[in-house]
Amino acid sequence: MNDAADGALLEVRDLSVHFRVPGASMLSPARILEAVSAVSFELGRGETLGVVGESGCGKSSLARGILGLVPVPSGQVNLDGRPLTGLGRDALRQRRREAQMIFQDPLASLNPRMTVGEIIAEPLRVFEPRLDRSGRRAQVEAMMERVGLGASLINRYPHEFSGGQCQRIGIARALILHPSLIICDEPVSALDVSVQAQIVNLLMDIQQELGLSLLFIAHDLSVVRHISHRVMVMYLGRVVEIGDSDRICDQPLHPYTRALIDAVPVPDPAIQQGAPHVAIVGDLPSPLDPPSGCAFRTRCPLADARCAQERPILREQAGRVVACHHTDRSLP
Amino acid sequence: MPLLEVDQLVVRFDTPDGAVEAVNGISFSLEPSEVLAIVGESGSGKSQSVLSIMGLLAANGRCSGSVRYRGEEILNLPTAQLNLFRGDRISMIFQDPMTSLNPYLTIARQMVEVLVLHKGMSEAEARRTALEMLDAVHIPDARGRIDRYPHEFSGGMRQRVMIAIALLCRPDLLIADEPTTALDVTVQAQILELLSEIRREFGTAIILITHDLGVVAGSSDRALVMYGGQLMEYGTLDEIFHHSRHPYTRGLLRSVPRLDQPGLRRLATIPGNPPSLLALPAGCPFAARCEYQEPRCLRERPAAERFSESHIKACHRSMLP
Repeated sequence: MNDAADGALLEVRDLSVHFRVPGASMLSPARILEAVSAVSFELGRGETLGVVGESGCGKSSLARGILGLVPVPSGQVNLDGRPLTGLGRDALRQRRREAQMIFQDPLASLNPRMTVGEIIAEPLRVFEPRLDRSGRRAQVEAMMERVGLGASLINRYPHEFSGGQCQRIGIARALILHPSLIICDEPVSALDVSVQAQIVNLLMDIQQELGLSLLFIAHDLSVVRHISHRVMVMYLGRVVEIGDSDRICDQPLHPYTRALIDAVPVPDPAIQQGAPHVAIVGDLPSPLDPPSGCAFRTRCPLADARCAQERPILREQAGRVVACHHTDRSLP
Repeated sequence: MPLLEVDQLVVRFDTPDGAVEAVNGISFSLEPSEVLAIVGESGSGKSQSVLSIMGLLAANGRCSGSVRYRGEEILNLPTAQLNLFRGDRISMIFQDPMTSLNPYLTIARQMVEVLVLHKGMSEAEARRTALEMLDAVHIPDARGRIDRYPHEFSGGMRQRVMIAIALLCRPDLLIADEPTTALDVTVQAQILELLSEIRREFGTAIILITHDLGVVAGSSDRALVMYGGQLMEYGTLDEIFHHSRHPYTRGLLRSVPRLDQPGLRRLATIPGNPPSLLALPAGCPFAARCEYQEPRCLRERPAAERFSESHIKACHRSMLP
């Protein structure tokens, strides 16, 4: 351990992720899609940071950028005080054992031709080649029990499992190398309601028990609030608000966060019926042609001329960090 | 007379692995301009029950029981007769508007076709009506967009187009199968608002199929909870959400994280997994996961019993703590 031990586990500085997409016509030049634009944040040890936003906000690209799964044109990522960006292939590969990922579609992210035991053991074969067969098996069985699978299922294939069980397999595979960071990309959104709660509880238990840091990406704000210490709200590739989870959800400041929270239906007719839900109109603008100034201004009820000219920067206000010129105004 | 009466509806599929019992004898009724939510998880039979009403089951599906529209039996009608109702008196919209719209035809073509077929309108008249309907579902600049193709619309706009097409003949009943599941939450709010506006303006009754209890709470009058192809509980929203008498409904409500409650607490869970429809247990399909299970629950399927004017449940336990 170095002196980074007291600091944040993950530091992300001005990270951008760009994709080249074909031009509008065959002869026009390729265009650049800025999926993530200069995002900065820190994730503490044993902390869960929830990342929310609608489709196209860049939350999944952010995860892939952090892990170096997509090229990162600019920005810096430090894990445990040492850089994760700018590494060569082999060096990056060696460091991947410290940061693992859990995916949305539990069945699609498991190789259908490998047994559960082989799937969970694969990271061990790659990173700990000297471990013998029985040692590997013992670790895999222990991990299966830990995630609630039952070691007797070790020779089964993924298709024999339900969605919830497949997600447990994915969690076991992510945990087997004892990473310090786990990035969960929509880990429960493909699951049924009654199973979703089981997986959320499992992730919370494991996090506490192992002191893991979780980056929890989801579009469902209710789940994110439930599991996260802090929440980061993204819109069109940028962070619009970040702070303590209960504070953001109870007293959101950014008009987009407010709209997002207003739009989430609460399962209680006494609260839900008659409440105004449509806080913003329209759709997400194309990320290929983002609005000038504040990216949210085209849908924002508070937008004025200044929002079109000047991009609001993130600044601290009322115990969180928010990027908006008009946080003092109430929504119409 | 109710608008729709469904009585002991059964849907089965013959598969190489055996018969799948998708829906096992559900009954409900719908008054004009009522919104009924059918709630359930994947495999609960919620979609298959409405697909059978619409005569849209897969080729290996068979249905029995009775479905009466304004007193007239419509289940298993020959296609020609069914087509007099379908798309005209009863319309349906689906989860993914991109796969239900024809990508090769402009929106205008797809809308005009419906009116020419069902209402015998001229092309010009049909186009005028189509434009009015696109305006009614708040498609901005409908005149400029009616000649565009589905891929030129965003997800939320495509769902609005689907709703406009479904409403062209002013149906009495709109069946919406997970209409907002593929949409972002701010767009979902807009579509749900549109559906309640349609009920208000046109008096259309709506069957809303969903897995999201929040959506149910915000936009329906009554709710029917399904599990393993069977009706678990059926009642007004107040009865279902605040006075539930069924262990499954209660468990479901407890296991959903709520945005209006502080986080970082353990969620109550329902242990285990939903049953396979290929091998449904002899008793209550929920018995294996139920905390109030009794020996009888494993042997005998509980019948749906009415215990107040509007509240029905299928559970052997007469009282829950």
